[in-house]
Amino acid sequence: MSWVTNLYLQLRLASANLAGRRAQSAVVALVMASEAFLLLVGLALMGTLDLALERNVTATLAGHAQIYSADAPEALQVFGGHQGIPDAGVVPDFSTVEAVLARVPNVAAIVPMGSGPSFISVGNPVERSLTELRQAVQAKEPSHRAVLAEHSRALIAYLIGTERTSLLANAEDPDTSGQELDRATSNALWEEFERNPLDVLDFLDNHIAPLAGDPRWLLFRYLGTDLERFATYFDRLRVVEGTTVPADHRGVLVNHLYREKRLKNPVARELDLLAEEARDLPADTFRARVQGLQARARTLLRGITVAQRDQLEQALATLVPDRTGGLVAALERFFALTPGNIAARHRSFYDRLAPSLSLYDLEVGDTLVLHAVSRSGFPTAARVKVFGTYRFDGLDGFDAANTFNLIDLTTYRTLIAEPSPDDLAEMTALTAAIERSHGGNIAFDDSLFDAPPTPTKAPSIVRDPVVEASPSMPRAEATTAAESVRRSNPFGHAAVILTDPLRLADTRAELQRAADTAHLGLRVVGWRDAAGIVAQYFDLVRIQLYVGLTIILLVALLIINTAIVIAVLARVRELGTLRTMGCTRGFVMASVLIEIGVLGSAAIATGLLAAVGTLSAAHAQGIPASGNVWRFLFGGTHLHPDFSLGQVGAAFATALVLGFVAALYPALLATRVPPVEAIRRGA
Amino acid sequence: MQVILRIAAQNLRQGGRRVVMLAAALAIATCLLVLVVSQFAAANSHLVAAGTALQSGDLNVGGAYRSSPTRMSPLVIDAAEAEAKIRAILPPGTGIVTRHTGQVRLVSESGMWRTYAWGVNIANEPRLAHLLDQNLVAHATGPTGAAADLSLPRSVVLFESQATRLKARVGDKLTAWARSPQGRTNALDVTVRAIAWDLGALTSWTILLDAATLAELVQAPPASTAQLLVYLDDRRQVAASMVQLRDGLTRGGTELMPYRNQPSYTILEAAETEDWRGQRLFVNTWSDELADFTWRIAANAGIAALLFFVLVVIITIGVTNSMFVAVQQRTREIGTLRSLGMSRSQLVATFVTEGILLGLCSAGVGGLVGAALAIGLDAQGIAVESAAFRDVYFTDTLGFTVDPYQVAAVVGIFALAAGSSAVWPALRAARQDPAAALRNNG
Repeated sequence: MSWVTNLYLQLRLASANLAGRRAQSAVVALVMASEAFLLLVGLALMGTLDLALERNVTATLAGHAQIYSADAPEALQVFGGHQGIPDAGVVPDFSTVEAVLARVPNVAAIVPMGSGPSFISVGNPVERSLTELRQAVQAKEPSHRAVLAEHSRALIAYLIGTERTSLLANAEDPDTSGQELDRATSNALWEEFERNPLDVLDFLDNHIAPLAGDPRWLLFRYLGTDLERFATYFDRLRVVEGTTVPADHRGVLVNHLYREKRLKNPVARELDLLAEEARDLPADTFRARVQGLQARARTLLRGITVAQRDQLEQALATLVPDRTGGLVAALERFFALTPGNIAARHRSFYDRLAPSLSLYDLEVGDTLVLHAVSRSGFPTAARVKVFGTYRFDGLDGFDAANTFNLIDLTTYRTLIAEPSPDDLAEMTALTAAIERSHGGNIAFDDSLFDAPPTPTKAPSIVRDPVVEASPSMPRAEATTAAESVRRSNPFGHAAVILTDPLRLADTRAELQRAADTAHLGLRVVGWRDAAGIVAQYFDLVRIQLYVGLTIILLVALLIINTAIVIAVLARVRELGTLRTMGCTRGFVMASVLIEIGVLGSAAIATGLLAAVGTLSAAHAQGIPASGNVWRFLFGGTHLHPDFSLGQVGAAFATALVLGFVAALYPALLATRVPPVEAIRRGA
Repeated sequence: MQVILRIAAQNLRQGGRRVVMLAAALAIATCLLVLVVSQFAAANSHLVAAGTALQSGDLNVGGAYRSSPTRMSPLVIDAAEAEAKIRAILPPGTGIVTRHTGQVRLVSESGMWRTYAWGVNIANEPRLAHLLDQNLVAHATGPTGAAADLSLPRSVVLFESQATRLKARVGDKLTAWARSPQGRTNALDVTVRAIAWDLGALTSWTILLDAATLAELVQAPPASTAQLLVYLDDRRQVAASMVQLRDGLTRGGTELMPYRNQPSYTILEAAETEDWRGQRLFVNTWSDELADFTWRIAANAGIAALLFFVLVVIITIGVTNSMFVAVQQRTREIGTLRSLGMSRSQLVATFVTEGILLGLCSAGVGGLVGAALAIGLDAQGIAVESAAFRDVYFTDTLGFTVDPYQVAAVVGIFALAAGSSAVWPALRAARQDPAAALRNNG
């Protein structure tokens, strides 16, 4: 028999068999199709999860690799660890490092960075309003000043009108403070303001503002970086409000989500949370929280101008027609929320009311004082202007990255107060010069500690009990160009952006070699290591998922292949008959395998088509992340699974091979049975 | 019934390779599932045990006190009164522990560490003492210390990474700084009595001071406390007990904050921006308080449920297929049985019983093997070299806890799945005409 005839016979046999045993063939086809379906979906999901982490880590703060000081006391964790941001040391000069490492092939850019915790104080609306007013007075902007003065006066009048008793409860001497409150709203004082603004401001700052409560101290994590370069190479950065920080300016881009969570008016924030959680909350909890919201609704009116109040009144009149009881009552009625109306009220709050309110403790254009501790342990402070807010496009769910606020490098250097090599050289030269002129040692410590510098008070957005921003501090948006030219540039760590991220391992090794050869004292780590605990968490959960998926696949294969074995076993008699008719063992074996091959290919293709359809639908829709852990794993609120042709091919090949393996065992059994026995057994 | 059982058992015995292979697959599936479930159970119980010793009671009662609308302290002003009220509401045998809290800055010669502190009365807290003693570090040169030493005045117990940052050893003196609610700063010298291993995020921001020292440091009003940790006889009753406690407190005239299923720091943070005056209490459960950690339990439960579901589906497919083959092979036998007077329903029952028997035996064997493996592996105490693992489960070893009920449930459900998968093939068998079946040579 030529092989062509042989093949023809085999195919005829196979198709006759398949047609003859439709039910059984259908079961085998069904299980092979499910096998292929599971394989492709499993492969695609695992691949997508892996990519999600890589994208989150590399596209937000880490880049493809990170460099930091080899002498760092703690390992770098770009997103911070359990105990805050680890001390990853400081590298003395960026330009030297860049000069060496930028030449390494495959390096597209190096973005200098440095991160740490700082504190800001917020929450006293009177103080904030007075600070803005003082700035307008000092800047000699009469029109702006008039608006702000009206604002401050309205605010103080409002506070005294609605919260007089509460304000006096904060006072050490309620009687005197009571008189001062009366003075603060009197026409006489504001007429005096026209003539003598600074004195009046001092009075309000020192006697009235403190009654409006203690400021809240908030953790404000910063990432100092070359903002222009950062925006170029971390292209998911989107400015939500305001603008980016102009080149050579001191400034901060506040993280949009941080501001939403930490710096928003509590009433607005609670409304957001309630709108989000409404469906899951028990009825009495929902009611109690709505009552709490209503009781606090009037705090929304703090800090708004008369014009804004009018606008608000008009907007509220259309939303809640009942006009009895004034503005506060109208607001309370607006916040009479039910699970049924909350979605609509939440929308109208932002569409109609929010434009007349000031919803944040920090607005674009404000000036902030960041308080930090230098690496050598003394308090530092820097004043910066808020130029805008930002978010990472599509990565809102990656909380680890969304706690950092971006500041310029000059401000970063002020906060860490690390002397640059130039500073050190200057200091050594000075010491030498002084020693020469004094002819010997000088007790520097004595001269320093005998006369501690007295900080002078300067207006700022905050009133800080620890450190006051000193007047010698550069103006918030002063140009930094001169400084950066003169000084060398210390930095904490730097992101390395690669042209071809797939060659990370090689490039990382080359970078390390280049750094070592030039004695830069640097450590180079890949993004996964730089992500620290974030990546480890991810790996742990992923391992659990993998174990689960592997068990599913393993058992699926066992059962599925049992089905194939059973199907072929049922044909033992028939195969034996073939043997009696003179067919060789090889022929019988081939007939079984070809049958599985034909049936399997069709079934697997169908299964894969179904998987591709499912995955495409899931990609378009997105698999919603329910809960924090899934948001973390998905790196967002939805996972959009992707698959590649390679994965389709791998799934096809694996399913087919497994089918053959499953068929091989019963086929072997069949060939081993003597023809006579086969016939007897089957009968 | 006995006849049906006997026929089913005999059919299984005669099933040959088909039954053996299916049974093996079922047994392996059960074995693996039992292993996974036991690992999750061990991890979860570890997490809950550590969490409820260190950070939370089964229920927590905390409070906020506002002397003025803008000044809030996290205090229960009259601890004894609150405790008496709780005792009156909950059944006798309920344990109540009071703790102070405060933000403390610890300063050593070579470092500074800002953290939250619990002020504990270790003699009243056997759970905490046990947890600490289990986790004490033999520090490089110093003695290990003991949790009980926390009862000495001016004591602090640190965790490993904090001690490393402060370069502190057992016996060292540190200065603790704190601010009182009135804004005054206060400092005291404290002695490191013991250093315990880190328990992940649970301990990264926590140190333990003796109750009197912390109260003095934060200048807590006399008779006040920050939190009452309530330990129930049976933790599973926590939801009902919380409702009971909240209702009872409200009826007794205590002002309560609305319930939030969140940790106390989040509840207090929300309360901070409110503007009432006086004392209000809140109640939450251990799973609320440990919400930052319990997502892992939820994640494990989710993975286990998914695994279970997919396995049941796969087993159903497998058993259905096998039963169809069996029906085909036994057409003549079926005809004989029917002509001998077996009713259709009895025939269906025979096949279903066969499925259940197959499921019960193979899953039973798999379950037992899985349980035995789990117990063996647990005894081995497999060490896991992963910081993340320690962070997530508060332990270094891969533990397994076999819950007999869980194993029985897994076996039972697999057996039911196998039984119900036999229904369809059995119905087809029952529809056959007995005469035609007898004529069939198959």
